[in-house]
Amino acid sequence: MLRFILARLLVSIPTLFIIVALTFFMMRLAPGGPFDRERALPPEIEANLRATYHLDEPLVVQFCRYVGRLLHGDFGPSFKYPDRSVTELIAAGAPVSFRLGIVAMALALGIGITLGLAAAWRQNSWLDHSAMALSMTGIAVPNFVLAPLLALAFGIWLHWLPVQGWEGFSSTVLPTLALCFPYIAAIARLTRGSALEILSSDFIRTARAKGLPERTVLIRHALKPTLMPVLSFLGPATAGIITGSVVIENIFQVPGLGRYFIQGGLNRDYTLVLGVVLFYGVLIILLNLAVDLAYGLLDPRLRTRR
Amino acid sequence: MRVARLTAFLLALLIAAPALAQQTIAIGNGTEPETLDPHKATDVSSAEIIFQLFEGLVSYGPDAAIVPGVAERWERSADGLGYVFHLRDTARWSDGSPVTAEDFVYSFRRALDPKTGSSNALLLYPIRQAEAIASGKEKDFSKLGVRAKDPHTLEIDLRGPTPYFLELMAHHIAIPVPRRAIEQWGEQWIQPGHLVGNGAFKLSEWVPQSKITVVKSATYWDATAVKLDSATFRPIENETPEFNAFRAGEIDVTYTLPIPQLPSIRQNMKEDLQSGPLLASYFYSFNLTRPPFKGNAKLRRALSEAIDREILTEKITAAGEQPAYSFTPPAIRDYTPPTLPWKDKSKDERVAEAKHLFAEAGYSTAKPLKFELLYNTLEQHKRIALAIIAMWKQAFGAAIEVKLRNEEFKVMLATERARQFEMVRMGWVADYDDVNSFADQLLSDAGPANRPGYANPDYDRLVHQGQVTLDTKERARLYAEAEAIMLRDSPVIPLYFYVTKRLVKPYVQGWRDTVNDVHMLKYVSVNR
Repeated sequence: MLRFILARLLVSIPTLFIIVALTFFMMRLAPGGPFDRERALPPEIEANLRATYHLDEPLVVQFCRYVGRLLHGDFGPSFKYPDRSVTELIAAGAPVSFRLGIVAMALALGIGITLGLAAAWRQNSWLDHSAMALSMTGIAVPNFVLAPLLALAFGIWLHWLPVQGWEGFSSTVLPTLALCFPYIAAIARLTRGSALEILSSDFIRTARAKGLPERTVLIRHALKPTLMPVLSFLGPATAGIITGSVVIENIFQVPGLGRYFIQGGLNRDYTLVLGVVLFYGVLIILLNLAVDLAYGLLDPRLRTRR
Repeated sequence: MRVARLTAFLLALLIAAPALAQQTIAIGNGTEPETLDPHKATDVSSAEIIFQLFEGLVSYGPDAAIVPGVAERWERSADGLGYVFHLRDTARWSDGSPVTAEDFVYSFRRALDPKTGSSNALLLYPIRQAEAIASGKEKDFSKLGVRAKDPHTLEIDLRGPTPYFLELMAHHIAIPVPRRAIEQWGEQWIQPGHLVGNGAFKLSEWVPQSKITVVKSATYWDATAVKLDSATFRPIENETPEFNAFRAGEIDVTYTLPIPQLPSIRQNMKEDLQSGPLLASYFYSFNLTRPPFKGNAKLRRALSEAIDREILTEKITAAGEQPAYSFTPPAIRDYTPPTLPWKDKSKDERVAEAKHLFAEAGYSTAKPLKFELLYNTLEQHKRIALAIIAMWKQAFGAAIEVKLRNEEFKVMLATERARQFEMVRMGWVADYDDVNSFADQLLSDAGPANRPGYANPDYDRLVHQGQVTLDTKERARLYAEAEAIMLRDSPVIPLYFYVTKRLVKPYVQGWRDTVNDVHMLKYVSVNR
């Protein structure tokens, strides 16, 4: 187990290096620089700025300088926010994005699995139909439509919840709901499909034939195998929910990482974009590893094969 | 349980009661400020907060006019080459220490130091030796024409008469910064707890991407005049969430508003809407260094004349923008710009004249004019460009073929700086309230700032003369003559002048929309 984890982590080092190198050089290929603004700077001032950030050195030297800094855990200074380091910006934004993403994911899992199981358990009943109608809506309505609607209903008409910011529990409710809704839908459908298949399989029939109560059949026997497809969805989905909350973060003014991703690119804030990409890269690698480990826990066949 | 709840409720009331009496305001402030360092900031969102935390020699009044700041009075020498500023002895930093002439000497040197890397340093170039120091040619900072005669007297020498010098001194590049805090904390000096300012407010909290809170400073020399106890600036980048926050009562003043909502705002929230002229122009620039517009003034004028600016501002931008018949906005101080010669003609006359000029320039259905119009990717720019192309099509028919090209902003800037365009969309915001902030853009030696690559010796001569003329009327005459020449040459097509568009709750008093979009909260109060 430990060897497996170590091996996976070692393999990820070259992956991360390639990510850094690609991002670094691709950013530099984009025309325009961090100091280009509507006012064209006099050459001597632009030279000052470039020298301050070592942009006057050859690209390869800059790359080595950057990687050297990274090895010391330093993501460098931000270009757009001259007095802040990228480490500082990520440290401020990441916990917010994490909290938003993880709570949304937990909610999506709880509600989605329950809905899916209920729908499969009473297939073709009103329960099934309404659960699936709900999840079709969730898949069909994009969150940039849902989010403003939620803000309008609960913020402006009812005055129950704040429509922007990230202070106190109440301000987290709308963004979390808006973010988790499509995932509830996806998880509910996955669970239902998988549960229907499992519930009609031999070992469930055996369990029922043994006279086990329906609750035991569902929870002890059917739940674990039902969750396998949900689990494989979970790895990329968790990464996606944390990295992909850009829209929600924008609509509700949540001070997370998502905005840096887009704004950093537009501002040519080279170090900020690199820092965020690298951070996301590490995150995705770790989440995939976690999912692989969880597979082993849920499915004994995979454990022995390893 | 019930008793506990009741006690908690009463406690909360007790805590809330004094808070209700507090004067506070929440302001939508556009984007996250780049920095609160007055010498490094380049964006409006930073400037808005910096002006609450710091005060320069001179400051802005409620209507953005120049008023005394740290300097209570000043004298200009007869030749216009020297200024003496007398600093008030009551001026204090927020740590209680006095603001001295020595602080200003340190700050001007820091602003110009190449190591600081300030992109606004060029605004200080009128000071003697400033340009040499900023470009690294002069290493001896004591050569800079800024001296402390005594703790309360500051002398500044200029390299030439600069009639708009006080305007420059009001800019945040000329703001004093706290030497001790900077030496102690390095780049971290702008953080809450470290930042020492000398303005009406001091920094209390900064949560990146979320809020910046400032509270009234007890050490400010004019503290008795300050009515607000605190103010919170919220970076809300998109108009719609900001609009929602305003309607939900979470902010009292917005940074802008969603244009599609304007008709409904005009109908339902009329008393909240505030709008005023800005010192900013929206224009198209020709590329005068290559065909088809090189050396073809008639063609340039035809294209400019065929545009109906009233329709543009009434139907397309539709937020109170003023149609532009000059490059310099009329809102600029002490100057009335000349207008394009056809301003008062009827629409039919204009189009007829445009057609005539277009044909004279050598273009027809047989030999159509083909060029590319470059703009940065934004829905509004596209709508404007499409409307203008439709106007050209209407006037010139098949004799004109325009291709639209959009690029992301920074890419467009790079393209434009390499002069790889035929016509490009541009905006220009004045750095200071003086005609020179517009006129010097089109000087032949302005370098990359001169978008079209315009060069007319008569224009250069008149503007250079205006730059050193101290008499206000004579100056205005010189600049007006220069601008009239430029407008005849048509290196640019002025389209409209920007306006501020904000929503302000009726209980916010003293909030005025200013031409430089800076609002001194010193003059603002809240009466809920």
